[in-house]
Amino acid sequence: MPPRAAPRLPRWRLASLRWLGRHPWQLGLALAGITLGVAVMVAVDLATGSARRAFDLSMQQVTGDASHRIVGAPTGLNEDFFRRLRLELGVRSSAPVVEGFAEAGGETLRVLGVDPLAPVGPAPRLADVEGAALEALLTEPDTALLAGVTARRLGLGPGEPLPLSIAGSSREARLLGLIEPATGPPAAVDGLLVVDIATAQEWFDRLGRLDAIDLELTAARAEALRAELPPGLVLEGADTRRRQAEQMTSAFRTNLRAMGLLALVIGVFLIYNTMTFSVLQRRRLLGTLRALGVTRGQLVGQIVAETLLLGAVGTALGLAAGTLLAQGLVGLVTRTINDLYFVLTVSGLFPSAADLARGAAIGLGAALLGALGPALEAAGAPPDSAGRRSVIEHRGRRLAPWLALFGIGLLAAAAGLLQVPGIGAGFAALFGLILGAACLMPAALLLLVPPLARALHRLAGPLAALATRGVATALSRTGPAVIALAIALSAIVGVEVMITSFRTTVEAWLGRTLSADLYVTAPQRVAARHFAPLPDDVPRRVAAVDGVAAVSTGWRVLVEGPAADVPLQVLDPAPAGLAGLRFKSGDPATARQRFRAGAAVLVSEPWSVHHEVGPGDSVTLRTDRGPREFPVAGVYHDYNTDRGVVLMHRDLFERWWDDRRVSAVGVYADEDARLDALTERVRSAVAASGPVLIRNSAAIRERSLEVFDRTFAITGVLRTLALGVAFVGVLTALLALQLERGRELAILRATGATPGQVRVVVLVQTGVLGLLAGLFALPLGLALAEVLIDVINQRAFGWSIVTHVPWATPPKTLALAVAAALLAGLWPAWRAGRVEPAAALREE
Amino acid sequence: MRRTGIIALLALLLSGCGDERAPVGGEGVGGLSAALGGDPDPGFARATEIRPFAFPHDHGAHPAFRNEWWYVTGNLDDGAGRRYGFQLTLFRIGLAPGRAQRASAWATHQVWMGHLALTDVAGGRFHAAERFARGGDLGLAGAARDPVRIWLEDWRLERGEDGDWQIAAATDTFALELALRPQKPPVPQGERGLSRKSDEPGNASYYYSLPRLAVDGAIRVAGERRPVRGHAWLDREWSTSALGAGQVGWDWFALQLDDGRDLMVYRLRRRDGATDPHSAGSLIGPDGVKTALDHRDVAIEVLERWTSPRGTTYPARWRLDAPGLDGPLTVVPVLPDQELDLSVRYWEGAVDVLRDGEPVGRGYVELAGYAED
Repeated sequence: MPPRAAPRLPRWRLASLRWLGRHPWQLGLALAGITLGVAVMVAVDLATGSARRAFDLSMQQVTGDASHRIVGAPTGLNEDFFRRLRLELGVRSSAPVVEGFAEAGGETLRVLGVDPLAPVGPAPRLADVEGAALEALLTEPDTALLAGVTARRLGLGPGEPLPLSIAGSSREARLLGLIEPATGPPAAVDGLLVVDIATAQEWFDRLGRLDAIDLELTAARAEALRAELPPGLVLEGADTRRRQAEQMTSAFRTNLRAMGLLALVIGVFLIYNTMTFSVLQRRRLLGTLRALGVTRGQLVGQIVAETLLLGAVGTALGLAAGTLLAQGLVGLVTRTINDLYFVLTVSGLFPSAADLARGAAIGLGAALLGALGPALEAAGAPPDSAGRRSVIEHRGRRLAPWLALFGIGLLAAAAGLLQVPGIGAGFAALFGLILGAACLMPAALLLLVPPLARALHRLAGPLAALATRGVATALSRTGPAVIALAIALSAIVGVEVMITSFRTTVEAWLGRTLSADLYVTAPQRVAARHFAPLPDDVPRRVAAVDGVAAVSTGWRVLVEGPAADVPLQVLDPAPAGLAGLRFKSGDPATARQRFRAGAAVLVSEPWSVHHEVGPGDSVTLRTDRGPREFPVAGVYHDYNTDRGVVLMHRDLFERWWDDRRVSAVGVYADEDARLDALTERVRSAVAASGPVLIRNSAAIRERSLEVFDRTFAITGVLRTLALGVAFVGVLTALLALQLERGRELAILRATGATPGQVRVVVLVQTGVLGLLAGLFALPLGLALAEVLIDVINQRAFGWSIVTHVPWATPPKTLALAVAAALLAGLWPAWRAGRVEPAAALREE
Repeated sequence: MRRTGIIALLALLLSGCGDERAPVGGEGVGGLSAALGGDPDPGFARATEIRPFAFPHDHGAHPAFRNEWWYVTGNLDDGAGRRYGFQLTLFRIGLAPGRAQRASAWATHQVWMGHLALTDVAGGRFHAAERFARGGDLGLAGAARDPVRIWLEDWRLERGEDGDWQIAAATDTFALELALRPQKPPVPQGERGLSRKSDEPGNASYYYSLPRLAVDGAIRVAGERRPVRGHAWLDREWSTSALGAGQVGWDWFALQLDDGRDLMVYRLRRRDGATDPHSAGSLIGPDGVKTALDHRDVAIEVLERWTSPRGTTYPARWRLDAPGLDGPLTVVPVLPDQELDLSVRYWEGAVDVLRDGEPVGRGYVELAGYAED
């Protein structure tokens, strides 16, 4: 008797698996699809998640165990209140905070001024700093502790001088020691420079003032303290800042996530493609298996198991690749956050298990989703006809109209979703639009191919027509390929049109708004939106300069509103200065007049959208004299910040706030003044007041657009990756198609076609495929752009954007489509030319 | 004879900062010895020669010296027959000599530390708290002369024009609100106020005591306010010097006898357990006249020991004898656990004084340098 075999897979399962093993390139492309799809999605998740965790980590280090925070008027709070807090109100668990930013070695450092003796806040966490160092921190000016990770990067050690640039002035700090977080990764303190509160006050010109007071309070004590606070001071929970940061960046993060998801959707098509092909290729094997008694369920199970195996390997590879990719993306994400929202000095990658797990689950899920159709296809066929190709194609053609009907339904649903408010619904509509359009494509292929074939017949002869018709005959193969390519291309068109429109709109807005010739500002503390005040006498000095016709002044402060802080833009316009304002609602003339008279404020479009406030409404702000309602006269277009601002005339502001500071002075030159000479005169007029920055409006426009382009750099990267995924898809589909149609090509060869002619047939076919995909992508892409501009962007950021389709977009898209398809068709064409007619025919 | 101030602050600085920090580890002790053995900044003044005290001027701060403290301890009774001990200490530590010449009101060379304790004998509880604050013009903590006022946030020790003192200090669990009336004039300790700690010149402090103050006021404990009366002792000392070589700690006794006399003795302990010859004391008559005692005059015998829940063993009952005491005294803590588990762990508590088993007085004892921290 033969030895008892160990339990093993049934032979039929082995046969199925062996088939995959004999087609390594097929396996490789399927893997590449899943890997790329998962990688892009995971990378986006990790990068945005890391930025959020970086914020959390740095907050934890900076606020320590504080539960609450007292913040004050725009100018901060008087330090005398801190003494009152400790001596009279008996709130011990409190820590004063003076914060600022400094540049060192090309990096932005977050400077945190603390009282090392405070029982809460970051001070108790300054572990590993020696006694003498802490003593020196308290007693010696300009001494500091720097995050260990930052010091090592800058090549600095304790005892060494650290040259800093603060608000345009140079300072030299002396490093006393390094900060290593007691818990958490060392990168959590990246960019943190801790100084004594006295040093911080001196560095940031905050003598007598504090930025905030951190507190550790029970809810009951917090309530009691709230009642004791003098007007102008606000007690907020420690999570408020985190929540604000979340809100500020949520639109940005959602957009990135959608891009990642798009890559995955394309990946699903790819898997579908691959698995369909593997099923079709094995049709004889599968039919035989059915005839031998393998049940449908077993076959479905087999295909699903194979897919899971493929999916698992591809997902694992995707997770690894995604983590690598995220290393690069996180820098882009952090830079955008720094450009647009707030300073984030921590930029490391903090992978979270949850992000990776979600990526894995979605990857496997996508693989299964892609395999479901093919598996049912294989199982659904009767035993003997599973092998017959024509059955499948026949079924595919029969299915196409129904699919189109379903697609129309999806499109209708998407249109309905557009009416539902919220950014989530907007994205759902976007995906509905994509899927609906995808469902229409097979039917469209069937409709478009015959006339196209006729046209090509007249133009290029019967071979070209034959090749073209092949696109429709092999619908089950060509459909997914066209869809994958079309979706990728439409995403590119949509995003490109959106960005171009946005940029064009912003450019026009900059041209209108930057109406002054020169702008004098305090050197910005950092690249982000922190506005440093100018020395007091600068506006007066500038106005007195010879050749200056008029000046305007601006000041940006955060004041307390009913729900959250309200960014208030305080403007003292020049006589012609309001002409650049374009109103979205409200009568322009009345609005300008009421604004000038100090009778009303204006709100920017994003603010109006986020707070649902328009002309006739009012905005309640906490002034230095208590809360006050300000009527809104109009809503104007503004692309400065997606949080939006409230615009208030200087006169009105000074009536209610004791804040006379100015962060920018706009200089309107006399008509005959020469700008470079005027710049020099302004420079020398304010030289005695301290360092200022003088730029002409062209330089500011340039710099603004630079930031704009940088913001969309990450979008560009994701766009390219999506195209990469699609390209792999087209390649797979074409390879599959040509391999499968070996018999057809062999007949061609047998009937006298040369290898060259066969190759031309294949290339024409792929070119037609690409052309069709490009034709489908154009309208879909423009529709996507409209949704992105009018729905997503409007809901997420609140900006009106004028759609602007670059003339080059349609030809470029078509060219890209055909080129990608031809490129993918090169190898299949070369293979097709080598077909041995006799062998290929015998095979059938 | 209170050096806990220096030690606690150094511990604080060596271990990072914070109120609720665990005591420093073994490494910190090495650093502490090194720091104490090192030379203080030569910019600080030294207690090198005898100088007459001038009051109320000398009740204020002496920032030319590195360390200074105001140390009040006392025994109290309430109307319901319950017994209490209390301690309020305000330490000033100069991190650098001179004034901070800077624009910010937070800039300072002075750090303040406060210890506040209450022994609730009837309740069987000992409460202790610690806090830190910086000096500086902002006024979180400091000392003023006219009128005399020493404060660390809302812990205050103030002296009125009439020479009476006021204490106001509270934590979440207990509070003191006391008026203290001196019963005797200030007594300069050591050699007319110069208290030498070792043979090295300048290794000394200026030291005087208000040995007996009548206390009237109220405390808050166990959630209720209780009127109290009793007696307190105020110690004042400022110096720049550090521990003498080989000295590891001290036992300090301040006993107020019912016959109107007050006794202060401190025993400096050497590493080998022997008594350092610089140990000293004084016996103050009801009229305030002082008789100096040196280490040969005083005999202290430990009768019992007690190990704290935190693992340190302290002497817990003594026989104490000195010339003129009319027989040896037995000193017994009113509660065994009066260990302050703060930045630096030490024992400071209320005691009963017995002679032949009969109560003859009350007092306070400080035991420093026992804890392995």
